[in-house]
Amino acid sequence: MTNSPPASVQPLLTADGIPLKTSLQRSMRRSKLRAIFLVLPPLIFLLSLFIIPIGNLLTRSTDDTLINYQLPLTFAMIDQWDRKTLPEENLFEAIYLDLSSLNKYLISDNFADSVDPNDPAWRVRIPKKGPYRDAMIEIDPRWQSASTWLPIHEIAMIGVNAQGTERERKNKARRVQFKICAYLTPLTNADCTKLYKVLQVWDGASEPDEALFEALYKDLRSANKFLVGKSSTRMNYGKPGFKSLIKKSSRKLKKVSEPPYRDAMIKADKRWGDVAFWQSLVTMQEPQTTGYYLNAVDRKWNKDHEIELQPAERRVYVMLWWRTFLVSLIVTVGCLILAYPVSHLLATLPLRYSNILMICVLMPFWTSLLVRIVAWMVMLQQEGVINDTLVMLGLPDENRLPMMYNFTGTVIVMIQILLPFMILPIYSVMKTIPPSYMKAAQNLGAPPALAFLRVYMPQTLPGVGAGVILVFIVAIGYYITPELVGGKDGRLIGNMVAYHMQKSLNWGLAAAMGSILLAGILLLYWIYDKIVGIDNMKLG
Amino acid sequence: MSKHLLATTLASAVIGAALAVPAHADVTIASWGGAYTMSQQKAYADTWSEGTANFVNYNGGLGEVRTQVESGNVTWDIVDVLPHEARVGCDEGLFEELPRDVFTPAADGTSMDDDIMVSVPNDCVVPQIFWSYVPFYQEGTFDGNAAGNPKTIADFFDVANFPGKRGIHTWGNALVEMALMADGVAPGDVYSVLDTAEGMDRAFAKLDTIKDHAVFWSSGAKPLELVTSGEVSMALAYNGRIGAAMLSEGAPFVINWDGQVLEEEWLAMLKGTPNADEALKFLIHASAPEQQAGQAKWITYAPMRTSGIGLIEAGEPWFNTGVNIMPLMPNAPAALSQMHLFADPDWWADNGDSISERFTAWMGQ
Repeated sequence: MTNSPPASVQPLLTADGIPLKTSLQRSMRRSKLRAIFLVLPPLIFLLSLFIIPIGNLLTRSTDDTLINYQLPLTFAMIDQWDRKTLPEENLFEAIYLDLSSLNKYLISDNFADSVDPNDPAWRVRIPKKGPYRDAMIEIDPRWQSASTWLPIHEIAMIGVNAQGTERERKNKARRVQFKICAYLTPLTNADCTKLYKVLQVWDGASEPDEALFEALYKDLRSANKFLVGKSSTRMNYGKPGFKSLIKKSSRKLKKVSEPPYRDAMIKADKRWGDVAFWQSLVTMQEPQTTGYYLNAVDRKWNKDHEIELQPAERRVYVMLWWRTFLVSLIVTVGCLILAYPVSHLLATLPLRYSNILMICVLMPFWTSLLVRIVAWMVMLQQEGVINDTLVMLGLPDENRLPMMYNFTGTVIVMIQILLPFMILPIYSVMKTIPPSYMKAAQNLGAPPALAFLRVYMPQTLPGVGAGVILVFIVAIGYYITPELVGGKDGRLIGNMVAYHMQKSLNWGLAAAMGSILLAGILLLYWIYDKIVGIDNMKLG
Repeated sequence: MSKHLLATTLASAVIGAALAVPAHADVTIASWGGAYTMSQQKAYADTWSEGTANFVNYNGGLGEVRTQVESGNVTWDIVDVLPHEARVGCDEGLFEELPRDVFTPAADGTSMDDDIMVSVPNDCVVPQIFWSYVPFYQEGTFDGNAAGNPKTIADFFDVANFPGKRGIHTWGNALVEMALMADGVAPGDVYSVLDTAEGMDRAFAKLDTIKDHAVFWSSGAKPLELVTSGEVSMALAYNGRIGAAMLSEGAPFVINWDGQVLEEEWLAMLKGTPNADEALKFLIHASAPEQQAGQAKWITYAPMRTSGIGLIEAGEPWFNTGVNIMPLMPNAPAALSQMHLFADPDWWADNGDSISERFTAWMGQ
């Protein structure tokens, strides 16, 4: 406000005597509330189904805490090792304790504390057949007091007090068993059945007795088995062979109870005598790691905490990133070349022809993706329609063109599938350009080509920009088409993400690749904004 | 008016939601779809009287299972898994451990776990079928060929004497093993050879010999199309797909059992499923010898239980169209008398990822 009214002037009043300002504010507030109310459902939708999963993805790509739960002592001691020769007895003892017994972490849930390898609690052995109480209290005296047990007792009571039919109560009790274990361990898929049983009869105040400790020990022990399973999957990403090494040794080490552990472990599996496995352990030490990002570009941490290339035969991701980028680029350019004239026709033809043309554009768009892919297979395969025609026209039979199950196939099919995403934005912009502009340019002496280049084309750029961005972004994450028609060299990074999500369960690597894709798209978006300006983009 | 409308809508939504809750629990089984699931539907679900079994399709792997179990939102009860997943899922605690004494023994009293041709990897899984990667071609393809028809796995890798392209899959399982067997390695030594760097190079060198002649497939129906259309002269495929095409459609295919790689298939129960009791009943039913044999009426995958094979042998012609099925069983004595290999899931658990990367790089070179 430049001209604020003098204070003495009476404020403007509405008909009912309320100052106009207040009344205005009130009605504004009401409309704002209504706006928020209207926006709320999509906002919740976006938050719960998009933003939170993406945040989850980003954290998974650096998260390596699980393995640190499994091998705390080993990782605390491994820095003292020279990383060249076979480790001494003390490191063998550490990994033996980490693998064969319930470690202090699980019993005291003190993951945030730093690990003191000299703490005698690490070496307390809980007798397998009990009594458990004294040993566990020695590891963590907090378990002695009833108050430590109260939180899990409360969780158990939720199950006991569950309402509903017998079946519902049973299932609620079952979920509570998982919740108890999730409270005690980093796992959500372990079930503390024994604890649930004994906590029900415990009064919540008297001193915890042997029965409680036995249940605690046995449930943690079974959860630890799954932790070992998951850790070995993780360790196998670092060095193939760890999976069976851990499985085999944790079975055999049950019989070992006396030092020297070095000999016992090498006897259980001779790979413990292979220094390469130990060197690989060094790279898993950090709870927050950039290792998955490095893996996604064919690199890894080595034993000296330096970045090095993966072994030659495992280098595949850089090649796939380039291929993905290249395919997206070719598809985008291909779509643009094909879409521009079609959009122009759509925008300029008389209505009854342009309608037919529009249906031709939209029909494939509405057809199932799989149907279109199969149709392309029929057309492009070596015994397909196109090759048959070429052979009929004189192409030698043995020179049939390979156009399917390779790079070419992926590009052709993707161009056809993504074409409408290019045509529609360009068309919608062209539709708004009055034909009189071209006529005026020509009237003023421009030859048709120049008039097109200087007058018409610049006006279509917002649509072109929108189409290009849309097609490129969709193409770079494409998955199903390359999977079906990609064959030997047409599969993209998206297929690797799917492989690691579904098959190898290396979610860290999949998340890292997803994050890189996301970052790449944001980068392109930023470049586009700098060069063309995002305000210029028009989707219709 | 609009309030009235809103109230009606809300009320009907609430009633609708209440109705949508099933009155009694069904068992949901995630399986691979197609003719395979159809055989399970006919042999296990249709013959099951204690409940209703519904199948959903999935694409393999434990990704979805892990998500469901770890989030505590379990919607599948049973999953049909490959040998690798059968082990990982149990190790990681994604499957329920099952009591072993509740399952139906064979007629002669042999317990279920002893009635299986391979050792049972853990207490989480119950037997389903054997299937195999196996080479096949169409009758007449090699008519007039100087070397005659291909018979061995070595012939599959011999494009000089057996011309034409080869249809192979886009991942390494079975291919590296077959390459070594074709190169003269005895089946029993395959994995110890592959454990060495030179052995792995040797397998890929053998694969190099057919690379320029290879057409890569990724979905199970594809190799049949490739062979039928003549695009390839020979292909590797899942034996059940070939058998189904031969028996149901009369396709003139010839299977070369030499060098086949057999794989296990197991059923497992998701941990924390709300329908655990029903799911266990279904597993008991589906793993009984009669049902094991019964699924082979519909597809040529072999029962994992030895007594199931016995039932088929005694009941021939076994297939639903009234033809003999034993010649198409991957673990029938005739097929097993030739060179073959039972894939080693523990070895693949160690090396699957690195081979997958190496294989992808190899394809793209």
